[in-house]
Amino acid sequence: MHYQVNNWNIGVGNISILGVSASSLFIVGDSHEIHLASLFDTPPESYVVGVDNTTRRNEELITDVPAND
Amino acid sequence: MTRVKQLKMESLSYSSIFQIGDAKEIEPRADVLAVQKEGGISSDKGFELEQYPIFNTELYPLQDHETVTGEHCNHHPNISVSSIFINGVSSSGVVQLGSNKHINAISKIKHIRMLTDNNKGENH
Repeated sequence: MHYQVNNWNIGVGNISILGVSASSLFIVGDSHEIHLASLFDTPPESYVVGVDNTTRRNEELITDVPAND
Repeated sequence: MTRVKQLKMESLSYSSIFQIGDAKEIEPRADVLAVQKEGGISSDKGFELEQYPIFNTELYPLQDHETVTGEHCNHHPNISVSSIFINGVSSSGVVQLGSNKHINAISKIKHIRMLTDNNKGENH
């Protein structure tokens, strides 16, 4: 594919953005190549109800890997 | 050339980049583990990033199916913006006033919510 870009006068007044988050991009200019990737693991999948295994995990870490102390 | 009269940004965090001017390569990376536990957390022990597969996942770039060739004619070299307001930039977000060749941003975010059993049925 071949393409031609003609940049004439570009003028913008006001820009208001609430958030640029998680590998998002806001650019005033040119870019040749853009790769944006984002991995999410959020609730409800990450809910842990009634099981507190952090204490056990702490013990495991302390006994198994002394360097973690 | 980018001409911006005024820019206001409230916050910039977690591997985010605010670039004024041109750049060749921008590659921000962010690994985020957000833990909320009822009763609070006293230590980050037991929450090492390595034990969650999401942080070990390797992302392979998409293959280029087509090579694009082109030419730019800058009849008027300026892009002018009178004012920009950005509330927040976070987790490998990029804000740039200028041009670049290559951007490669990756963010991996995992949330964990830990509730005690007596809250079952509430807090959905």
